[in-house]
Amino acid sequence: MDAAKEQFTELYERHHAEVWRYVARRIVASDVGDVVAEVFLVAWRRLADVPAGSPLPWLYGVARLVLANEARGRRRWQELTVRVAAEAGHVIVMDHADAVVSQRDAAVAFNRLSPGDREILRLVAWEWLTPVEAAAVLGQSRATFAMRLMRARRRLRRHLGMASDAAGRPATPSMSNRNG
Amino acid sequence: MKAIDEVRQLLGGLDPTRNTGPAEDARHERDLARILSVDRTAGAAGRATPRRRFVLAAAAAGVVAVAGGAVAIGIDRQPQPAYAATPALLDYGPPASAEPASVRLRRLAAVAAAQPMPPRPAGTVEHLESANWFLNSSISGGRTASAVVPQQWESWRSDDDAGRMVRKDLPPIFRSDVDRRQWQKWGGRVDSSREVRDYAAGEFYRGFRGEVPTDAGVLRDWLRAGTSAPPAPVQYLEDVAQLAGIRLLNPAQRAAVLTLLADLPGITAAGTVTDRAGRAGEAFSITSDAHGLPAQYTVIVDPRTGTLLGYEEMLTTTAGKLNVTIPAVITYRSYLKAEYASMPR
Repeated sequence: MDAAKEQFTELYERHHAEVWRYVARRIVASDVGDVVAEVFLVAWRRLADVPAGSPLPWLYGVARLVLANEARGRRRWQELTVRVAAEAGHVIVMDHADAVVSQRDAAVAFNRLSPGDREILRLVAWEWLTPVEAAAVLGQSRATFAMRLMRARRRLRRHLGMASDAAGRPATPSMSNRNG
Repeated sequence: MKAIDEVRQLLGGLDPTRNTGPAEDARHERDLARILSVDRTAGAAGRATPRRRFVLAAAAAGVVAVAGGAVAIGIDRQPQPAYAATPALLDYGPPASAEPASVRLRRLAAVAAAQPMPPRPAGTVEHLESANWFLNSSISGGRTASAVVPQQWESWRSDDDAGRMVRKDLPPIFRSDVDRRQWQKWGGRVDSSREVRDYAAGEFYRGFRGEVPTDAGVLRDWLRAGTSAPPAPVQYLEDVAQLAGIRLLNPAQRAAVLTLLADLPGITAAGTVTDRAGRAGEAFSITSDAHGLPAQYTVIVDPRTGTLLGYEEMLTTTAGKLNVTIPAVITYRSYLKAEYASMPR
C-alpha cells in the first residue's frame, strides 16, 4: 500500500466513529452513512490539506459543508430534532445553583435556538471541542467564537427561564422539576 | 460557572448518539475500499465538496454510481467524452390556444377542480412513482459520463408523514452506438440495487409535510415556509415540480398549483408536447437566470385533468462551465403515478 493510502486508512480508522457521531447528531439515521462516506471521500481527495496534528476539526468542517451543500431540489437532509424520550422528567442539577432543569425543558429550549446557536452549542456540548477547535470547525477566530458562545448560552438560559446576575451565573432558583 | 461547562452540563444528556454508534462493519470496510479505489488526482482540485450523492452505492469496485444516474466508469482508465450525455430534447408544437399562459392555466385549474376525488380505500397511503434525471450529479471533478441513467423514485406516505422512498437506476440511455459499445467495453454497470429510505412519523420529506393547501395563496406561503429571502418566481415553479413528485395532489390541490403557476410573473405558454412517457400535454415555462445560467424551466400539464405530467430544465443560451452542448436538458422529472395504495411490507 502506498504512503497516501496508508495515511488515509489510518485517518479513516481513527476518526470514522467520531465523524459518524457528528453527522448522526444532526440528521436522521438513514442518511448518515452516505454523508460520512462523502466526508471521507473529500478527505481522500484532499489528503494534503488534512492537518496532521488535529484532523478532527477539519473533518467536522467538511461534514458541515457536506450537510449544508444541498443541491437545490435534489435532496434535503432530514434534520434531526433533539428529542427526549424516556427521560423527559430527568433533571439536570446545575452546579453551584438552586436551579434545576428537566431534560425536556432543555430540549425544548435548545430547539428554540437559531441553527447557528445550536451548532455552536453542539460543538461544545456533544463534540466536546475546545473553543479553539470549535472555532476552526466554523472557520472563525477564537475570539469570535467565544463571543458567539456567550450569546448562544445566554439565549439558551433565557429560553430556560434562568435568571442570571451580571457575571452570568444563575441568581435565583427558577424552573422546578416538570414531569412528563 | 464557565460557559462551556454549563453548556455541557445542560445539553450533554441530549446527545442523540449517547447510546449509539456506527454499526455495520461490512459497510465500514466497503466504503474504505471504494474510497481508496477512486483516483484522487482526477481534477478534483479547488472544489470544497463533491456534489454527488450516494457516491459509494456501487455494486462493483471501480464503478462509481451517482444519484440521478449518470455513471462514471473506471475513472482512471476510461477515456472521457468531451461532453456529458444529456437527455433528448422534447419536441414542442404550437400552443393549444392563443390565450396568454396565465389565462390558460386558470382554465386548466378549473378543469382540475372539477375532477372527481381519487378513491381512497381504507388503510391506503399516498403512492407516487416518477422517473428523474439531474445533470449536476453526473458531473464532478471534471469527469463526465457517456450515458443518461434516469432514476426511478417510488414513495409511500401516510397521513402522519411516515413513509418510504425507494430509488433505483433505470437502464442507461446512450447518445449513440459508439457510446454504448464503449460503455460495455469498459465494463460499465449500473448499480442495480434499490436504495430504500424509511421515515418514521413526522419525518417524511422536510418542506412537504402535512396537508397540501388547496388555496393558491396559502400554497405559496406553505412552499415558502422556512426561507428568509423572498424566492424568485421561478423558485415556486421548481418547488411545485418537486412537490408533484413527492405528494399526491387531489383535484383541489392541483387547482391551487395551477393557479399559483398562473400568477407567476413571466410564465409563458411553451406549446403542446408529448412527454417522456408518451403522454400529450401542454407546456408552460419561465426563463430565468436566478440560478446562475439562463435556463428555461417548464412544467407539462395534462389538459384533460389538470394533472402535472412532468418538469424540464433546459439551457438554451450558454452552458457556462458545464460541459454540455447547447441546447441541453439538465433536469427532468416525469410523474408516472399518483394514487392511494397499501403501504408495502
